[in-house]
Amino acid sequence: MSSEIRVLSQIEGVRKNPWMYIGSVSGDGVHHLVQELVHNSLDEAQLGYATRIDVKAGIDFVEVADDGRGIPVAPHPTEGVSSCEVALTRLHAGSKFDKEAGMFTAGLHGVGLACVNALSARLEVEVRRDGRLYRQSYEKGIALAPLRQHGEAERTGTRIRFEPDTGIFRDFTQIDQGRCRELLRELSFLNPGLELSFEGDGHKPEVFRSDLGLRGLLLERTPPRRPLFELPASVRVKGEELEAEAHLLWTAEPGQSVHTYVNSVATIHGGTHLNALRAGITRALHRLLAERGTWQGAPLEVDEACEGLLAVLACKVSRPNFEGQTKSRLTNQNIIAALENAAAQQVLAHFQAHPREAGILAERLHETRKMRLNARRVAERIYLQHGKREIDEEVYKEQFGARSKNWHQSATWITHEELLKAHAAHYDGPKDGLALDVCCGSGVVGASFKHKIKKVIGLDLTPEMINLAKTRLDEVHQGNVYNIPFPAETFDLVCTREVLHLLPYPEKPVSEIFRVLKPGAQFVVGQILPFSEVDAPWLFRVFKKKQPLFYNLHQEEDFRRMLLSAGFVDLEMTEMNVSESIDTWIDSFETSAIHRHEIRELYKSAPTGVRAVHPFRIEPDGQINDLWRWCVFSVRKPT
Amino acid sequence: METFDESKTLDSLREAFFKEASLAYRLRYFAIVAEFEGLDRYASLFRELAEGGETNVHGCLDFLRLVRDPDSGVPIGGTRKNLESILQTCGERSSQTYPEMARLAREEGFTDAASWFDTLEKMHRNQSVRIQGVENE
Repeated sequence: MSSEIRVLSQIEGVRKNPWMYIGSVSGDGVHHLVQELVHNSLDEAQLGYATRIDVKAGIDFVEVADDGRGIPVAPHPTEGVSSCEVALTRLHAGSKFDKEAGMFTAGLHGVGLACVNALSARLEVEVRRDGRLYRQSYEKGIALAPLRQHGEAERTGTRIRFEPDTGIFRDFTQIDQGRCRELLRELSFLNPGLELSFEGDGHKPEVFRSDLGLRGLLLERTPPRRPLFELPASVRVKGEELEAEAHLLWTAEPGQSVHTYVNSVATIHGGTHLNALRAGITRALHRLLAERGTWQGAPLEVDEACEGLLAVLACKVSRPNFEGQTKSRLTNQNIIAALENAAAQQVLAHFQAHPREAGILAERLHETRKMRLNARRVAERIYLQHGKREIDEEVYKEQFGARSKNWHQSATWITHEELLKAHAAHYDGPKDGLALDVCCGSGVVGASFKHKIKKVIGLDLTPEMINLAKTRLDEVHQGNVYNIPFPAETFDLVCTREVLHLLPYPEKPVSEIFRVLKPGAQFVVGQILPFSEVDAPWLFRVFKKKQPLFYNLHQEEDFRRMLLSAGFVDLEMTEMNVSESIDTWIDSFETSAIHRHEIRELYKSAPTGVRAVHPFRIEPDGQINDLWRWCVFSVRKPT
Repeated sequence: METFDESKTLDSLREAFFKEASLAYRLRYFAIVAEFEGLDRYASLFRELAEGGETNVHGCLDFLRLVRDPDSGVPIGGTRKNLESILQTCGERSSQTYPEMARLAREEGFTDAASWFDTLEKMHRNQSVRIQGVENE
């Protein structure tokens, strides 16, 4: 066994350039070290030597133990120290670097263990092997003493405990125990039958084990999505270079959610395996529709076939190639044909054998095509209406009518309490007054003033939104903000939020608002603005791709000028940041799939200048959270 | 014999500079589309070609820097001259090019495009301020 350890290089430089090996020196980097140890144990399990993995996590340490063979302890043939020390101090020294030792391994190709050691303030290894117990301690990757025997041991296995080096991980405060727990829970589905336990600081140990395997993971990921039918379709491939398993469900929700793994590592940015699966599904469903004889027009596109898809895909790849060390995207070309063909044949066979489900899915595909054509028509109409001073009401009715179905779930800001309070806080007019909420949507902004003003009337174009607003406001009228259907000097307050950027020539509605306000009355308006001129072009592109009706990116000085130019005075502004899930926000009827992709790319490749002024975060699972700058303005009509 | 400064070759190099710069950025844009379509091979190819494109752009600039900036028309070379050239470009963009483009777009009724030009105008104004800020440090 010890001869399996082949020394290829030293680990010099790991501490100098840790990001080259683990991607980052933030909390993600620390979690990466945990993953490396867990995957080393997992390799033992996958080769049939270990049956369980136990992880303990404290504030500043993690301990990973398995009941595998134990790291080899015999003197290394060329290095003059134990093979265990070689594995912990030399890059590319892991036995799995030799491909004959196991086919589908994860980890960093033999650099993982040495990386963990190099980046730890302290690391302790305990090996049970050949009836003996061995221990050794390290500080910053350097052995404090040789590996020593400490009596006898009944079983076999390896236990490694490490403390991340805060000299490397400068922002490190504590181990993310939730993430460790989630990692083990996910791995239990990917490795059916394997027992994984987790003991967090001050918590009882939890055991994760799934006999359902990957299908169990799909069932767990399903809520709150509503499946179109209960029975998932499955795809399986078994070959020398690739073993793959996928389970697929179509849901009523828009967008798609496919969780992909390669050798038990989550590939959060997808890659060739995901693309092959999607291409195969598309081929299968196009054939299905052709067989049913109901499909007309252009061939089914990948994005249409996968609309509403919830899927899990786990691949075992013998020689996986990834973009970067953190393995977030697979790039192997050699697996594409096998996976795509298997998906095309097996998905088609599944639906041929289940005609009821095939009928439901075919209906959904027709609906998706219809929605795409509608969306395209909306976009075309926007450009066709150019040159007009007023809006094409039908375009707005069509879009917001469709969005009314899940309006409150479509973005955080819509029902954000603090934001609504920030609007209401500006009003200091008479309590027995009359307010108008223009482009009121579901009426939440107007309703937030109800404790301060006697009556709130809503105005909106869209019948579906008017029905929603009627549950909150005293009266709701259908009408256009370019010609507000009320006499001059009627209201003590007019409010609106996140509307003016959607209107060409917003000066016109602002002057209409001025007209219907009584002298001395207030206009309160909330708007998302860029943080500065630096993030403005970037934000413009994000917003325009999200919303084809986007006409203006106001900056603070423009917005102030527009209000004051209309004749308003006494301008006050409050500012607050509201966190928004970009994935939820763009998962919307009016945002095309290519635009959703491009928006994610804009965040991933945001220039340094933008990142410096505009706070957003890309989570480890790829989700994007932006911190938008909300500005709430109050102005008054002169008395 | 024509001097380089007055030659058609200089005009050609200037044209090549803009064409190559435009191609490099189009390739990056197309790579994103290819990636979305699942055509990873094309995405990688486009990215690779775009990287090569930077060399092509800079290759043109290697000649042009002997005479003048292909955009601002002022001499470039060392950082002092380059700063002046960039300031000239930013100033021209923010005071003439984009305000005029925005005005025209509004006249034609393309208010979203007009807002985009406004945004670019402000961005270049901000760049001028930043460059001058560093100069004054």
